Amino acid sequence: MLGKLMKYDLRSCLRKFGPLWIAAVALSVLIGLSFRYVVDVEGGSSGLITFLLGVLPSMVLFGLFVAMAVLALIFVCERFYKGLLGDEGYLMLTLPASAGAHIASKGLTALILELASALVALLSGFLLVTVYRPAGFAEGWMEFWRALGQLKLPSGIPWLIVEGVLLVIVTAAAQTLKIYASIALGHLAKKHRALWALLSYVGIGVVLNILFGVGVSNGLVGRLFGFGASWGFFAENGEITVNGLGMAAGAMGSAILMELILCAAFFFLTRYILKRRLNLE
Amino acid sequence: MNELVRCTNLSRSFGEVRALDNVNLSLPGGRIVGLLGPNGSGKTTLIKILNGLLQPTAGEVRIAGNAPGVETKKIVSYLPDRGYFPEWMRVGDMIELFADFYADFDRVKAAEMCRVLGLDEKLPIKTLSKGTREKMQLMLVMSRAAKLYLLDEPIAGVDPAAREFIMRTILTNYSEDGTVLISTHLILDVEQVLDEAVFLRQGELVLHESVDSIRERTGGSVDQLFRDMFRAQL
Repeated sequence: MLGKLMKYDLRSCLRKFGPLWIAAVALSVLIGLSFRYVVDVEGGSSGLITFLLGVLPSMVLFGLFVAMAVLALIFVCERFYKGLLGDEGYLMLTLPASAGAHIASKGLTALILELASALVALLSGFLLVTVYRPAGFAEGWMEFWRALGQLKLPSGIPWLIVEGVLLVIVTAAAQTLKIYASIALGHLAKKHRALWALLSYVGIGVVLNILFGVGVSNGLVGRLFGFGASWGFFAENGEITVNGLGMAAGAMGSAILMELILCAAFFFLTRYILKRRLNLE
Repeated sequence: MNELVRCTNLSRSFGEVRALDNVNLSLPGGRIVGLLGPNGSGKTTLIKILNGLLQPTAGEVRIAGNAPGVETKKIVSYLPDRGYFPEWMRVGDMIELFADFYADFDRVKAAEMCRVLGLDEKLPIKTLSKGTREKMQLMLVMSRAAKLYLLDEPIAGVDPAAREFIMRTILTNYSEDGTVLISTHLILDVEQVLDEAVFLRQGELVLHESVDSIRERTGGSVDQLFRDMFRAQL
């Protein structure tokens, strides 16, 4: 059922964000071209042309990225709130799918949206520079890989990078599920549910901060993250040294574990409310 | 007779208000049942509990032996008293969604009903009028060969011609071994098709009897009995 639910959640996501992603990529290429053929011509261009064809489109592109981030946040909240707890809930929650499948579908779609938007932003930057200075960019890129190949990386570094990527993903998932849990908690109120959802979000943050503070004061957090231990990165003559590599990997692992625990807590809280305390108006 | 729905000591409160008060009800399969009562008598609350959209404060419900959940949703076809279409979808998307999730959905029947309603599958739902959306919702619900149809106020707020269309659509499309539970306060429009009548008053079940028995016992119609019983409230 999860796959079927995701099919429709992804479709609604693509319908909204597909055009934005295409616009961002197309605009990057256009800006790259305008830099290359108009703004950066030999002898220089007038200030107005530079502004109209260089600065202005760049500002539009930046605005588009900001809009994309804001719209993504609104989409994540709206699809959960309207899709499950609004009128659409009468359709979705009477489908033969479990509450857990609904939350997982919405959560995975949100995660895909967040990662895809980040990739589109990277791709846009990449395209802009490539179109602007194809030869220079290719050289720079080759140089980067050559330098990277010459670096003497300790064997634990790739694992640390994998952990870093995992941490970004589970943190995004935990933040998304925190939003869902807050909306679900707001749903328990008789009136002003959106306001209660917002207060729940703030409340969860406060509770987590208190718990973290308690963890710091009793030394648990210090032990988990290796605070006070001398781990760090040092580069000298192309050779990277990492002090306490195992400790760094352990700290990153602890962070991943903590985010996973948060994911589970938010997921089961939301599932409990959808399953046992649902009250569609 | 095979029992399809059982409510045992079912209650639901909203603060001080008891929307359902200790309801005990058993419905067999293959019947058309009118869930009748004035506004605010608990009809929608009961239907929402049967759909798992609301949890009872006390008591329990069973549909084909199961508490409302994934298994019951496979055999229940629900028409709510409001529009539930996602705005971004087209008519065809909704048909595809029903076909994806419900094994008992009949695409051929849905296509035929679309033709009767003049609905093009490519039409975006947001371009449809309120009345057409309601008919489309009914078309989807009645294209299933469900065991239990829960129809919440299907004829409220529509003109007499549309009521006739809706009732005809229900009667010509429901699966005959299934039970249809129609909630309404417009008894005259449904009385002719009912096998049984369930009366709710302020959350209490005050009558559950076959329509033939009511006519025989009172010498009048279900509508007349309803008017007599609820005169003070109406």
